[in-house]
Amino acid sequence: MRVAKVAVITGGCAVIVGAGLAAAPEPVKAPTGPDPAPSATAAGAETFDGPPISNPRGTYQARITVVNGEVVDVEAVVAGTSAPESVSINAQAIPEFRTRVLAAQSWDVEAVSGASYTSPAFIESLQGAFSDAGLA
Amino acid sequence: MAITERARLVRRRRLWADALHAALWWSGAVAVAFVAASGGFAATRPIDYVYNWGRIAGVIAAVLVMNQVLLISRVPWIERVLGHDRAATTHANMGKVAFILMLMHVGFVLMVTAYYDGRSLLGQIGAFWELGWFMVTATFALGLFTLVVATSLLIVRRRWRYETWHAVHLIVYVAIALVVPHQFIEGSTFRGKGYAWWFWVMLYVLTFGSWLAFRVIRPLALYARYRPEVAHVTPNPDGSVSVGISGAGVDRLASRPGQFFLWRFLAPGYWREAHPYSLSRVPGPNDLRISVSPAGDGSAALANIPVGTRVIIEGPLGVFSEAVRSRPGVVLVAAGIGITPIRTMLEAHTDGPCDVVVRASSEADAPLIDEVRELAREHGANLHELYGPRGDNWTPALGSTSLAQLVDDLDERDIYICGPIAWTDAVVADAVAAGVAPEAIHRERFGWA
Repeated sequence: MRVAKVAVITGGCAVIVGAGLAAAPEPVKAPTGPDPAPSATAAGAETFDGPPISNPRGTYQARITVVNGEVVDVEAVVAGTSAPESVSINAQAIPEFRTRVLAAQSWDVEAVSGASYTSPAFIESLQGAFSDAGLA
Repeated sequence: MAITERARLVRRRRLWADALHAALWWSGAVAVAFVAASGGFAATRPIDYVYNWGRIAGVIAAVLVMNQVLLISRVPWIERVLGHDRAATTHANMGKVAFILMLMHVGFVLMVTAYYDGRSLLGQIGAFWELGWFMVTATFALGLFTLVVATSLLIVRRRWRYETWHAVHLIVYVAIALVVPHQFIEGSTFRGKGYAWWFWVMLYVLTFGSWLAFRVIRPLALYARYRPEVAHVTPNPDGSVSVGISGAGVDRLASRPGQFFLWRFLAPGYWREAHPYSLSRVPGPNDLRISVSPAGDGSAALANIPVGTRVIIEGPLGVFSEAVRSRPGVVLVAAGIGITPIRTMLEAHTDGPCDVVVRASSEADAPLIDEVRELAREHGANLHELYGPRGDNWTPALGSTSLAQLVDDLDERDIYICGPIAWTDAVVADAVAAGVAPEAIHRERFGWA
């Protein structure tokens, strides 16, 4: 009776936590260092780094690649910290910013939801990079 | 009541107790599952596991604190199933575990995030505070929880008066109010407004809703309905005091004989504290009676409570009653003022053989003994009066005896024991040694909480 009770309670706990694990997002690998330029860059490509912007969740610095006045790539030199949460949030947020900036050809893009610390810092750094590149 | 009917009720109550036990555990498991679902178990380096455990410890600590509030919310389905004193004991044990988990949560999260972010520990505390006011209040709450846990440990060692400790213990509600915001605003598991957020809100609504309903609203409603007030204060020859409380229709509170209420006397110097006292008589249609020995600070002063003082009542509470009976007969065992619920149970006794054992240092020190003798005669109960200085068991040094010597068919009886904790423990040990099954041994400890 007592053993059965302990077994039911423990088993129930295991099933519940197991269900939570099954619903967990795929783990994101920690970045192994700054990416080498991912896309084939045309000749005459220039990169501009924005200023590093810090907040309690880490430091954020944007880098844009410009060819003939057109932004062709956006990446982060640094984004957040090595904490798993920070890694996982920024692994989603930075590519999202890349898409938005490439489409808008502007630093003035919408914040990414779920990245409330990354967004303002990265946008501020983007602004600096655009201004360095003379793109305003 | 037929014995098979009793056995069925006892079984059903145990099943509910198991279900409640499971629900407490599973509520924690669901919270941990939400941590997992938010990616909280993901780790790429060994240190990530320390951070993850820091998160999980915080979530479990919060669930335990909520379970604690639920356990002392006096919600009837817990009072009836677990009993007031077992609920209070579980509450206290959970508190110790919850506090250790809180320290782990703060320690691990602080150290590992300091490592992740390359800050010193102090720098990391500063960084947390920069996240917002909710982190500052959470830090303050940790200090308050420490204070409350420390004073709870002190009271166990009897260095503090119950009344002082209880006043400090109420700070825990301030601490909870200060710590909750960071769970919703900063906590990675719950801040997303998804299912986890709703689960967390529901837990708080359920626990604090029960607390509000049964610790605040119901006592006030009872007060408004019955307007109970002190009708008389009668000193007893042994030094105890019987206090009569009148209120139109108070017998509709439907207490089972042996149960107790929490009493808050609304007079200067009394109203801050509610004290647990058993009824010392079966209620009349319009009056209740308690009998109090001059033990605690509050109890001593009751001799001087003015007639006409209004009273706020919480209850009936506890499972020290026929509700837990499983055997054909009973043995009612009391020491000192512990006679109060025993006397009431004797008065209401209708069914099966009954032995009453009264223990006091002398006949003159036995509260309500005249009434007990009268009732024992009326109900045909065997009364055993054990007087004299204490010996090496629960009976007097001279004429030392045991339950088995006093009662022949002990295994056909439920044993109800009420008295000081150490003495009660000794009687329980005697009953267990005599082969009485644990489910037939019932004790009333006037619990804290």
